[in-house]
Amino acid sequence: MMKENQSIKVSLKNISKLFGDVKAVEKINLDFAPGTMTTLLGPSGCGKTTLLRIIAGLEIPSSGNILFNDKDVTKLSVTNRDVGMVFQSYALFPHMNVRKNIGYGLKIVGISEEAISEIVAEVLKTVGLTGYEERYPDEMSGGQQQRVAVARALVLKPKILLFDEPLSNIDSKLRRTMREDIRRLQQESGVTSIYVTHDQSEALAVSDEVVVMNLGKIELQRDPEALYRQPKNSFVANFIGDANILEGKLVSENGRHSVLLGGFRVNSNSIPSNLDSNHVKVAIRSEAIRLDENQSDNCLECEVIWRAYIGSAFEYTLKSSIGNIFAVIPSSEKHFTIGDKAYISVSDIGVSVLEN
Amino acid sequence: MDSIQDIPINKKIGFDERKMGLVNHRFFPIIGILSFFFFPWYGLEYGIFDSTSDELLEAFAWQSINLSIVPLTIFILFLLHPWQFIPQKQGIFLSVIALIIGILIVFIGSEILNESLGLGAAVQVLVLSLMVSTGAAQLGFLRRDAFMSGAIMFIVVLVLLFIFYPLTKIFIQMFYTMDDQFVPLQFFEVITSPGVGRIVWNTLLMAVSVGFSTTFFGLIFAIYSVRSTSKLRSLIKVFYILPIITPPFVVGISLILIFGRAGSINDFLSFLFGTGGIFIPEGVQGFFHASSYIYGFPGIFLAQTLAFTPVSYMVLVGMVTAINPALEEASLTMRASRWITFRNVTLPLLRPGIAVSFLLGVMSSAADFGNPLILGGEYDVLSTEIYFAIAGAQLDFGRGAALGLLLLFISLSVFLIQKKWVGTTSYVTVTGIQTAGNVIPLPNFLQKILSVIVVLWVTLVGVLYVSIFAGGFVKSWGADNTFTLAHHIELWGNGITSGGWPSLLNSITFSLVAAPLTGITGVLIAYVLTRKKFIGKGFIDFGTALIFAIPGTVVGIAYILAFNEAPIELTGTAFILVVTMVIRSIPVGIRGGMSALSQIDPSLEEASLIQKAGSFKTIRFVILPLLRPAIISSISYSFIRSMTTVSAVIFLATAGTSVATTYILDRADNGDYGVSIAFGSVLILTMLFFTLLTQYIVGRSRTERQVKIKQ
Repeated sequence: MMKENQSIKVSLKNISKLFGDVKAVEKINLDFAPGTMTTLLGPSGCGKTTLLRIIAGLEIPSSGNILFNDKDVTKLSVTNRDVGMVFQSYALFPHMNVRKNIGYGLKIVGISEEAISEIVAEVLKTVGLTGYEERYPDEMSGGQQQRVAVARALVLKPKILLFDEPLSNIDSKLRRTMREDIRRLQQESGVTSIYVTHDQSEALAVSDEVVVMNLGKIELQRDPEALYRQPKNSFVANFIGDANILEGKLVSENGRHSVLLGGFRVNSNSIPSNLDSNHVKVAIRSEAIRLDENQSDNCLECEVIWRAYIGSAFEYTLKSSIGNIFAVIPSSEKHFTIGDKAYISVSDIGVSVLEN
Repeated sequence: MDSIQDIPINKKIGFDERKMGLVNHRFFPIIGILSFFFFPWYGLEYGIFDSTSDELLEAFAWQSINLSIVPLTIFILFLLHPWQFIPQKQGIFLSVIALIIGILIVFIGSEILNESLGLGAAVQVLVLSLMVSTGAAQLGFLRRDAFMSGAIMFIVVLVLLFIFYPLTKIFIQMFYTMDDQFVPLQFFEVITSPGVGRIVWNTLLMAVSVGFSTTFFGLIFAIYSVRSTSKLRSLIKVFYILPIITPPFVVGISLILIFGRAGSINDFLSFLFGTGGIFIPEGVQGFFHASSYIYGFPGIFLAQTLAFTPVSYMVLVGMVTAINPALEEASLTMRASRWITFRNVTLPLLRPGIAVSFLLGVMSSAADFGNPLILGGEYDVLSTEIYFAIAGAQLDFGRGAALGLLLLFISLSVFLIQKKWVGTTSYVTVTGIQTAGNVIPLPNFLQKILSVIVVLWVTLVGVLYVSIFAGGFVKSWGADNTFTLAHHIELWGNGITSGGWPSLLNSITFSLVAAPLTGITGVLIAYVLTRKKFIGKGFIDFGTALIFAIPGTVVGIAYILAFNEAPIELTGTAFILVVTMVIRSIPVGIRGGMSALSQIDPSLEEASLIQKAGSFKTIRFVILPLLRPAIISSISYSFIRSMTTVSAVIFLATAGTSVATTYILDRADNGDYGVSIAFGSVLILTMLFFTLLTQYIVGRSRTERQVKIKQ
């Protein structure tokens, strides 16, 4: 649709923002590659929204620079920054219909009324809302309003697209289709986009790269799969997916590394260097765990102390000699009940050794 | 055909640097120079329209060497733009400093030389101020938003000129006696002089009592109108409007009619005692025969309670509506009865509202002027005492100033207590969690008691209003009850230039001019205070707080002191009356604006900015349409408030600029109750008409939207 648009690179250099004494973000250095969708992910208060608003120009950083394609835009006002933004509350003007909402910016830059109508019709087609021109926001569902908001953000051909938790107010069933639409639109238009959310599965699903933030700092920045497989520290491991974090000893045999947890051994393909071999932390994904009623040569004995049925799987809490372990086992596998004895084994791909 | 691909996105939008520079170097200086030639620099004693051509000519700046040289030089300098050779930031900074110094020279110079400034000077100072604000924006103030910078400058000038300058004058006046002797301790002499202690005590006692009574009744009516299941509820909605559209002292006059020496009650009672043959004990007879029980504390108390309960009602009704019913339902599920729930859950939740309403009642009572004037008798309070210090033969401005500051101090303290204690609930929003109609009804016995109180109240108010309207048609209430049209004929029947017409038309004209000014300025101030952060915001905050807290009489005396002499002479003009009306009614505009703004999602403005609209366009296309109901209602309230205001204008109205309220008060002072009450009833009808007109206009604009949806 808009491939002619030059995708731009966004760089943040040493961005800090203080609200009074509170350090919302601290010395952030971040590059966003052209044409990609990057998600800022983290819990409430981690600074992701502040960072997004700084990029938009809605907040001024206390120190640091923002560069669009190596041009310093730190002092540029939000009106002149050529960004598009989709808000959590949609921010559609309630006293204007869809055509006026989307055409708002076009009218400001001086496009004629007929041209506006054509452009609005075209962009409504893109978001799947043909014919909605005369509707008012309070006559549309949340999902429809959000689509209008996305259309409005796109219509001025922004250099970057910003999404501030756009799906938080949408029913969970609708979220999946909406995030697919957003991702598709972003890929077709090729606009560099930055997405903020606290929902980790959403982050993994839409992004080329995920930046995990905590307390105003960046914890980790990598593509979704690498992020999931190698969380690198316990914060990320806990935040993304469910992980069991256990302590053990690092042992090496014939160049292969494994971690001893009590009498139980788990393998990992990646081991960070500079680790104290006697105390290493290991994250084991809850879906990497297998339960068997029979022993095998490398297994951990446990007892089921709690279980919950979630349709596609059973969630088990298992008591073992090295602590409580949380496992998610597909319903197609053997069922266990509370009190049962079982044996845990772990597949390598779900194990990663943490740096701290 | 334009398509998305062809949109020229590289347009720089907004009031950008280059444009700002041009405005400051060319546009403004040219306007300044033009006004130097075309507007008279000096103030004219009789105004522009009534001066002779000689007087007019003499007033122009180019007739003599005077202070106008300063702004003229500045404008010429800007046109020549000599600092394009210095680094830009320094150049702008220097020019802003030069501008500010220029403004100060004009003011302080005129003060020292005792010269009165006129229209030309005003325009030039305005231009200089806008140049300051544009320059400040260029330096980065408010994120380079020249429009907002100008708006804030405008507010600052307003606050400085019409709040701080007059207050400074009062403060200085405190130290000077009637014959201009400097007596540094005069303030203390006045404070400790005999009688002042009693007057202060009177004022405080009355204020606190009225605080209690208005809160008590306001609470009753608020709870009743929201929670009771009785059909009487709608009565309250009608009756609480009435005191708002009534000049406060008209209620006082009607109280005299009913309860005064020649009043109906006494008539009725003498009928009872005299010929009715009903046995009444000696003491009680004696009490009623004293017949002046309505004067003094009881009368003022009753009049102020009647007048100010509606304000308390409005504060509390919002809070009662906003109570989350889930809290009371939770209490009921824990086996508490409705009464226990009411006492332990509902009432404590209302505490902030009760506190606010109490403090508002105290402030309103302390500031009230009309009722104590008419009903005071021997009971002196500060507001009337200030008036007597100046209006009577004394002309003791020193005393008036000292007492005025004392009253201001009391009022400001109460206001600040309210702000600290209750915080932002001083403007109550009615957006509670939507209850979907699940209102917990009142305990039965409470509902019955409240019904009785409501009925009694409504009856009393009803009787008073009947007397207000009937009184205009009666020769001499109590003494000679024959029907007569004489009062109304005297007021309205002798041609449009005599009787009541001049003052009524003045009132309407001034109020119609003041109302939209109040609406716009109030919303602007509310916007700037809620949405923007900038250096100097605290100053505007404080200035606004002062506007909220200043009693009317203090405004009156301050304005006389400030604007009766050079450099700014405005007394006797319509302009100063309009300004007074704006200042007196702007607090409601600000409160309403803040309340309405708190319901508008800030991301709407952010979305507008992102869509390339500058702050002016954002306000015009997004904020104003959404604030329209609040603006209309504050314009309407301002109109009513301006029509009924008396405590400030009584100092400033002259024969030529008399208004309805001063006319009524004058006649009532003379004892012509018939005429004054006749005028009062017409005034009430006028405002009722305008109120209904506003409701109609607001109602229509709403239904337009509904119709669109149905299509």
